[in-house]
Parts: sequence; structure tokens; C-alpha cells
Amino acid sequence: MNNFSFRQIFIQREALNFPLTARILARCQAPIEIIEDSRAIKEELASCPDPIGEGKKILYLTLQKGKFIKPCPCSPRVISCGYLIINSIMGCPIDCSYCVLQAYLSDPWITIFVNEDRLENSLRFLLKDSLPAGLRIGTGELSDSLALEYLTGQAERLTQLFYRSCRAILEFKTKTINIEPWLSWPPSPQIVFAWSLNADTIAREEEKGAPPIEERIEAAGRLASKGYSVAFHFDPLIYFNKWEEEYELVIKQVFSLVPRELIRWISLGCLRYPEELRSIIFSRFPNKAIFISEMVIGQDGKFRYFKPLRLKIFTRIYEMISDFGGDKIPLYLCMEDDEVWQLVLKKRPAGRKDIIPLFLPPAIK
Amino acid sequence: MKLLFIELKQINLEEKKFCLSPSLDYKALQTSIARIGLLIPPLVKATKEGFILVSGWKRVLACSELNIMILPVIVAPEETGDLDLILRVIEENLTIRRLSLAEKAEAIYRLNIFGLSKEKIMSDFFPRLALPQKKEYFVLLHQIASKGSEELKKFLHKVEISLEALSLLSSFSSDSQAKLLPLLEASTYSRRREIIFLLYELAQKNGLSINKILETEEVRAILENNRLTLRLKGEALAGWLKRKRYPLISYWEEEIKQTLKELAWPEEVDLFYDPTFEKAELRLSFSFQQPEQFVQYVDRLKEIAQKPIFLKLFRRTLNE
Ligand code: SF4
Repeated sequence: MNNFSFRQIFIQREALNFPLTARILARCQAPIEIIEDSRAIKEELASCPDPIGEGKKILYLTLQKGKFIKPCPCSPRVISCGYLIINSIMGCPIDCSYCVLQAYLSDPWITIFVNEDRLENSLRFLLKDSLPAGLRIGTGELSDSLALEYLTGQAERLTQLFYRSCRAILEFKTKTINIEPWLSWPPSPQIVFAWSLNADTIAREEEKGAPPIEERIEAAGRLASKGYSVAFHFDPLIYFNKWEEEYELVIKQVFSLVPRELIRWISLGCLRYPEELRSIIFSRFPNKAIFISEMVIGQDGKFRYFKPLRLKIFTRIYEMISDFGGDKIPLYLCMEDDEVWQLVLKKRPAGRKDIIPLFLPPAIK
Repeated sequence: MKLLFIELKQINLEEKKFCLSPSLDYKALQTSIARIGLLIPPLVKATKEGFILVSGWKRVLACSELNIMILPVIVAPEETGDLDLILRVIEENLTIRRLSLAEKAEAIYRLNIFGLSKEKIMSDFFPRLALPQKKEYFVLLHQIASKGSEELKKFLHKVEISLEALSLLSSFSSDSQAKLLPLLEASTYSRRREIIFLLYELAQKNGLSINKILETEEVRAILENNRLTLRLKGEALAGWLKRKRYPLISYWEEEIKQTLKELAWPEEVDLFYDPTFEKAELRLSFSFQQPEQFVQYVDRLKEIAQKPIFLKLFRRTLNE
């Protein structure tokens, strides 16, 4: 279990009397300040040399007034996997150098929306609806799904909701090993724990605050040993000197600790970032050669590796996964166009209607 | 404030704390003063040691060149604060022209050392100076004004440059800056940006200093080539840097050129491809006036399409 330390909790007055606020305050010892709105935090961070880094030590408890559930924005002109995002926490205490949230989120602190009853009602309503079977809903797009679980207990509550769902799948995408609560619960095919994995060197150097790769895979193995479905995201794949041998080592570890029939899917995505992130990376993480590979601006306006290089990386990683016996595991490419799908996976899905069924529990497929 | 006539030599021109410009071009003004005299009196501050010039540097220097030794000046009393006076200088300038980046840097620095807080400068002056309200730009411009070389300041007084590129350029050693500035000054806005980014990224990629890159034989051959104008040196340097920074893409581009050469591709037919190689699509364009001419081109292209190396144009992966 890795806990993070926070230097301040700001609570918006309206958010004071919510059970989630009480839970967080009981579990976190940081000083509290009650504020009317987030301007006070903005002012506090205005004089920091690194507001993004500093913002990771600040929690802001407030109410979600907009939609809790939204479709994943994905990227234009690429094949989308039809993901739905639960927007209950924005910001992450882990500090990955490549994290797109640094540019995507307008506020650098961690916002927790405490009106969880509203979120749960929207989910109940959604789950009653005729959702396509296999549709995935996750909390891991605007934060790490489990990094703040020790404070919020939110994933546990969501799990209970999805236990009874027979269509949608709840994905917890994480780099942490905070799986304790689920070890004593019966598994459900509707709940999938997914780990973002990377080469060891990259995890050590670029994922500050995240547990080592070995521990993540071990955590996946422990949950799998209880019958849980797991998934893996090799994202972002990074091209560096020892990329081939290091990724091979990780893939080997995965298949030696996790039974392949419990791996529900694997996604591959190469390093990519929007222009706005470039200057943030340059100033927050100077001297990082990994961001200075042969990148071009893709059709979606994001920097990404030169396509032939991406094809080489994807093809090789796919080969490794197949060689270790993962050839039957559904595999998809994150934010890639149909040409890349065709050249790497030898299939060209027409869109989300072809992709969503990939994620169905094995019994339904 | 009083209007007085004083002797020019009573003004201490060595004290430049109110001067924002790193270089003053007053030739046009000099001609005008020679023709119709000095219209607006400069502003000076009275001190125990004499008068300090606050605003009207070009006017005073032009008068000095013209041997006008007695000047009308507006005198601010000794107790007038420096902040008050620099605010007047900035206001006066902003109402009549856009400040150069060097002058903006100087304005920010002076406002700060004369007592205005960083936050106040950012909120009240950055929008007026057309600067994004980002702390990193406050730090950058403050540092340039306080520690930047005279050459860099003069460069920023003459040319436009994006703040992002300037932030990288200011991290280069003064030696590297000295080598680059003349060439950057002669380049276009986008070429300037390109050279700075490529240099920075290449240095990062290879773990080298900028100076080491500028000292390589190939770069020196470009920089010391007397047959090239400064602008052409900039072009050549950008080309070299691009090949080093993007060897694979450059190789890919080179291969297309080579293939077209080997195919004896007709010069009149333009072949377009996506320069990022993201899209597989190729496009052709040629013009014709007669049906026979059209058929001729088509036949020629058909012939080319039969050659095995034609397929090289369709290469998408590294292994093909
Ligand atoms: S764990 Fe995910 S959300 Fe958190 S910093 Fe890393 S990439 Fe961003």
C-alpha cells in the first residue's frame, strides 16, 4: 500500500457535510482550510516555481456540478475504443514526466468531487440502460484509479455497484498496488484491474511515486490468484536504448505471474503528447532525452514517433506477447489509425462496434 | 514639476536607470530637430549630483550631436520616487509605440527593483506589454535584463522571437549565444525558432553542450563559410541540425528523392507526400493542354510503375 503525503486540504464550504469529506478528513492529517472557491488555491500556487509538482500535494474537496460520466475524448482520425470516463477525481499524486494531465487539466491540484451519491445515482441509471455489452467505464483517465483509494474508498463503493451489472465493465487503471480490500471479496467478471506497465528503466526514471514494475505485476498476480480478471496497458511505450530487452523482460514477468486466461485485454500505446505538454516537460523535466526522439506531429495534432518507428515498436511488442503465449488475449492499440492496426494486428476494425465486443467476459463472448 | 532651461552637460548621461533601450537610433529624430527644433522637453530628475535623464534619451543625444547645448527640460523634484518615474517612462512609450522584447525585459526588471511586486507586474503590466501572464516569463525577462549580455539585449531589441525559443536561447552559454546571434538576427522568425529548438533538442538527445555542437567540424564549415550570407548560413545550419536531430525521417526523405532520380521521374509531374509520413496517400499533379500531352504523361508514368524500385515510394515500414 503506498500512501501519499499532502500538505494542505482545501474544502469548498458547500462540500463540508458530505460523508466522503468526513472519510478523507479522518484518514488524512494535512491541515485544513475552508474556502469559498478555488481562487485561494490558485493564489497560493501562483508564486510556486513548479505549480504542477506542488499541486500534487494539495487536495481540493468540492462538488461535481457537471457530468460525472463522459465519453473518453480519444483523438480525431484514430480508432476509438468507446470508453466512458468517470470524472470523480481530477489530478494524481504520482508524478509521471510524460503525463498528459499536466497539460490537460487546467488546475494543478487534486480535485475530489465528494458528492458521490450523485455519481452513484448516475451510474445506477446508466447501468439500467441498454449499454453495449463489453462497454468499459473507468476512473483511470483523469487520475490513477487506486492511488487515493486509502483516502476515498471510492473504488470499493463502485465495485459494489458493478457486481450486479451484467453488461458494462468497470476498469480500475492503476500504477499502484492498493488492492488489499478486494483480496477478500469474490471476483466478478465485470470488474477488471488494469496495470500500466513500462520498461523498468522508464518506470524508475519517469514515474516518480509509483511502485516498481515488479510489485505491480505481483499485485496483478495476487488478484488473479483470487480469480479476478486483470488487464495491462503498455502505455506509453518508449523508444530508448534497451527498449527491446527491457520490455521483453516485463512481458515475460507478466506471463510468469498471471495466468493468461485471466488477462482480459492488453493495450499498446506509443509515447505521444500534445504541443502544450512539450514546454511543460521541457521546463519540469529538463535533460530528458526520451522526449527527444524522432517525433512528428500526427494527424491529431499530437507529437508521436515517426510512423515506421511506431510500427516497429508495436510489431515487436505484439510478437513478444504472442511468443509468451498471449496470442489469444484481446489486444488493442491506443490512439492509432486503421493503417497501424492493419500492419500490426492484421485487422482493421471499423470502429467501436468492432472493438467493444473484444472486452466481453469470456463466458459471454 | 518645473520647466527649466539647463545646459546639456548638467545632465548625467552615464546614469541609465531609466533607460529601457539597449541601443538608441536617433538619426531620424536628429534630422527633425535640426529642421524644426526640439518640440517636447525631456524629463529629468534633480539630484544632489546634478540631473539624471528620465525620458527623452533620443532627443538629448540628438541635441548633443547637433551641438545644441541649452535644453528645455521638465524637472522632477528630488523626492520623486524611482518607481513613479519609471512608470512615466513606460506609459510614455506605450502610448506611442510597441516596446521591443529587450525593452519589455528592462521595464519588468526596473519596475521590480523599484518596488513593484512580481504579482502586480504580472497582473497590471503583462497584458499591456502583450506578454502571457506566466511566472516563467517573468523570471526569464527579469534575468535577461539583470544578467543578459549586451549582445543578447541588442538582438532582442532588433528582432522578434517567441518567448519559448528565447527561454531556450537564454539557457545557452554566452559563447554559444555570441556565435549564433548574428545568424539568428539575419534569419526569419520561424527559421530562428527552428534553429534554437533543433540545437536544444540535439544537445539533449546526445548529451552534448550547445557549444560542442557549434564546434563540430561540419557546423564550423557552415559558420566560417565566407561565401554564404548570414541568412544562408542559417538555412544551412537548420538543414544540418534537422538531419542530425531526425536521422530516420531525413533518411526516408532522402530515399524518396533518390528513388525519384533513379526512376527518371518527369520534372513536370509533381509528387506530393505527407512530410510527416503519417498518411500513406501520395498525390500527383501535372498540367496539360492537349489530349496527346495527357496520354504522353500517363504512358510515361505507366512505364515508371513497371520498374521494381517504383514500389519503394510505397514503403511504410522499416523492414521493407
Ligand atoms: S499515474 Fe497516470 S494519471 Fe498519475 S501521473 Fe502517472 S500518467 Fe498521470
